[in-house]
Amino acid sequence: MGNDARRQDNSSARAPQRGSGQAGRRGGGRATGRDGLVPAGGGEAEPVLVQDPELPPTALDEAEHAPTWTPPKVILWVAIALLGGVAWTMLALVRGETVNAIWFVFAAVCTYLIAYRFYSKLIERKLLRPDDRRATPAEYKANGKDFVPTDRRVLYGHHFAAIAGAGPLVGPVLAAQMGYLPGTIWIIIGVILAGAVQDYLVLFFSMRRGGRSLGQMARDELGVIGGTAAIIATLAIMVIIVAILALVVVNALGESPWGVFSVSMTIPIALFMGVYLRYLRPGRITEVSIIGFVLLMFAIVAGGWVAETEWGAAAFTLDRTVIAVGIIVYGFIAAILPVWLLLAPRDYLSTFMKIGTIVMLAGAIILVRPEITVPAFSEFAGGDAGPVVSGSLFPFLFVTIACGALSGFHALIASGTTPKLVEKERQTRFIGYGGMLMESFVAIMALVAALSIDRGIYFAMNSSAAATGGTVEGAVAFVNSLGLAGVNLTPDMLTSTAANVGEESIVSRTGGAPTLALGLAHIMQQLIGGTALMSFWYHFAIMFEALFILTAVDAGTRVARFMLQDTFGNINKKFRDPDWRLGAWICTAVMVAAWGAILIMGVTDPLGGINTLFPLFGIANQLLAAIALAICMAIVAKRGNFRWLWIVAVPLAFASVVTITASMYKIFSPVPAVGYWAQNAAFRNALATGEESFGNAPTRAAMEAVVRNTTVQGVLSIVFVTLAIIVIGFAVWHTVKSYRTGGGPSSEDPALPSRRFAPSGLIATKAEKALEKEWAGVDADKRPAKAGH
Amino acid sequence: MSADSDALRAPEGRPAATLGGLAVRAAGRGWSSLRWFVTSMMGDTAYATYVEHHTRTHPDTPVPDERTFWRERFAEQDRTPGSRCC
Repeated sequence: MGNDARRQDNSSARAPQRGSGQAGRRGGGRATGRDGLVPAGGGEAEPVLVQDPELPPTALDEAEHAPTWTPPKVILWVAIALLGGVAWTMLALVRGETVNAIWFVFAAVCTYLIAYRFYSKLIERKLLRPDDRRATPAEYKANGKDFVPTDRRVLYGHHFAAIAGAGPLVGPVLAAQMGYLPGTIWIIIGVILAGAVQDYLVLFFSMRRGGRSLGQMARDELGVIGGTAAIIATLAIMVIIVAILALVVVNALGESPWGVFSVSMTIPIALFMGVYLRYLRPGRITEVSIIGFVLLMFAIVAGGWVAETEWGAAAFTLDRTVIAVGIIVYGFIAAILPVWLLLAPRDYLSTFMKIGTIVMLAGAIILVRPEITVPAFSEFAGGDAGPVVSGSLFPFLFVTIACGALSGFHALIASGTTPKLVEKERQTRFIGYGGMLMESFVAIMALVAALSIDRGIYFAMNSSAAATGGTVEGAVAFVNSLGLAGVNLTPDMLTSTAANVGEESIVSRTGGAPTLALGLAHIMQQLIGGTALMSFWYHFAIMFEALFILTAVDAGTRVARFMLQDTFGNINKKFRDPDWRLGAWICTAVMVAAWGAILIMGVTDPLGGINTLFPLFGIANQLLAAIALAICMAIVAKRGNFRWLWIVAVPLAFASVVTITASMYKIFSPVPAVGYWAQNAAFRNALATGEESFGNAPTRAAMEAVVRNTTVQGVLSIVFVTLAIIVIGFAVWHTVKSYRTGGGPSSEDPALPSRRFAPSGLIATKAEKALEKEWAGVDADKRPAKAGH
Repeated sequence: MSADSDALRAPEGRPAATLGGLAVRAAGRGWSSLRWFVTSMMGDTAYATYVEHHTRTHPDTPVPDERTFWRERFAEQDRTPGSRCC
């Protein structure tokens, strides 16, 4: 067939074709004048790769990647576009009493498919230009351990499990106070234009640099000052993120003996798994995960029995401060224990639960199709007085929903483990862009789950105890005073829901996790078990989130400790020695103390904790995203590709505007509920004039706590935004410099010819399958690179 | 996952005898692809991958046993921690 002829040509006349054919194909790019102007030693140099003539081609021809539009394909894409259009119309334009949850699923999935097929393809063709003839780090640095060419579908699952955590489950729940539409639009549009772009770019650029970390790339691209600012920002952001995730767990477990028992049981279960893997059956990970999963289910059920006994309720009903101290102690011990004993087994368990639960929730939403009664825009969409998270829609919606739309944390994963495992360059689109689309879908499901519960109950659960007084009567009075259309909360609704989920009370269970758990229980019980199983599903969901978060706390502390050791290493070389235990312990203690202090501050905050701290979490995460995008922009500019620079510049500009505006509000807003310093001044004044109580603080001690907390929060806001502005400023300066000279020196690893082939997307195309068959006939000993490590 | 579509097809040149036979074969294929996916993703196959790499690149040196391999792997993770997401 024609394909074969073309491929023949492709393999034998590789080098000359690259010189002429490639330039011709990129003619369009040269129209801008600067695009093609590559100075000596700068911009995107075309590598000359000579392929082993004994092997089949390692890449398909450019022409074979071009779409062939057959009538069935056209019909399929028209149908996807129409279905997506109908779904968006149902969500955004049709104003009925209710809207069915299935439209959220259709709107999201159709938009993702179109974005993946067209926009990510555009990014691939115009901006990144992967070259499958180049070996990936997994191939040229192969060591059989962390550099291993991995099947793309396996790596997709791996990467998804690493990026998905509690973040996309919590943010959308809190943002549901503004109605369903703002959150839905931001999750879906944000991911296709910003979040997935960031993940894809960072993965690709890190892969081209042998799997270098984000911090190292920052130093390479932005110089010493920009790079150092990026590293300090990452460290500070890590601390705040760990603290606020821990706060979510504390809020979910406070006064819940069932939750405390089941979540504590994960520790002995993980220890058992660790010992099993080390001494009994090394390497049997799936086997031990299944055993662990069964034990975990038993722990959830047993939690219900224990909570009903008198001694159980007495022993496991813990005050939030006690739980916070427990998590801090746990965090320190977990982070200094060897990985095999606690972190690794719990990570396996968490991966297992993550994939399973997400598949289950997606299935349940499609089967149950709950009706949503929440309005598209709620009463709080216009103002800044929402009781769940304060602040106006712009910019606070965009920082409240961080993960799920755009998450800077992913840049740390996309520049860590994953690029070392990519088999072929073209697969980065499926893994990077596609992986983030899946995370966004998780966020949509979390939003649907939160929307499916009664609005009155939603506000009773998510308003701080300072507003509701923590009592059923207080919550009913507060929620009914909000003047929400169609909401008429009764004490009975709150007590019967609490009884159904096996909790003493559901009033002021802030943090998002309990609301999501109730939503999940509400949907799942319609599918399996009815109200009798509702308490099981509720605690299943709590357990599932706690498991993610505890893993993130442990891993985050370790990474932060590692970064701190590296920094201290500049002063005293001994800190760089990974086997110096005392150094590791000192650094761990410093990091735990840092996040622990913020956690305690959040738990004891008279103003509620989550509602004042969560914006800081979102801002921190988005600032990290802005930093990652800024580094990507500098790289794109150095490659000399200015015509398509907007693909990075637009999300970067948006993320910068959002986070810097949000920070400015937090620093300068005169509204006490929004601005940290305004709140600080109000309470200081009240203290100075000798008031005995002020606002939500009933005592002078509480008032002093508010002054202290707002000072810390305000200082953190200033630190974050300053660091981010430094990094973004350096990136813009480097971009302009590259624009003036038409490009800059590349920090990519030298190109080496690949000696293997694999399809690029989820499903292999016809041409890819044909080439795979050719490769199947090649002797195994010919395939691998001759030069091992 | 692409293996699923393959599973519905009978092997070339040998038409599936009965519908039942076809279903059994499809189920078998589906199960083995699921097993392959889960064990590769969770990491059960890591040692086999390493052995394959080692025998190819250092055919003259002995391969460490599975227990040692995992010990070294976890020790390495202790020294250079990897991040998990929020």
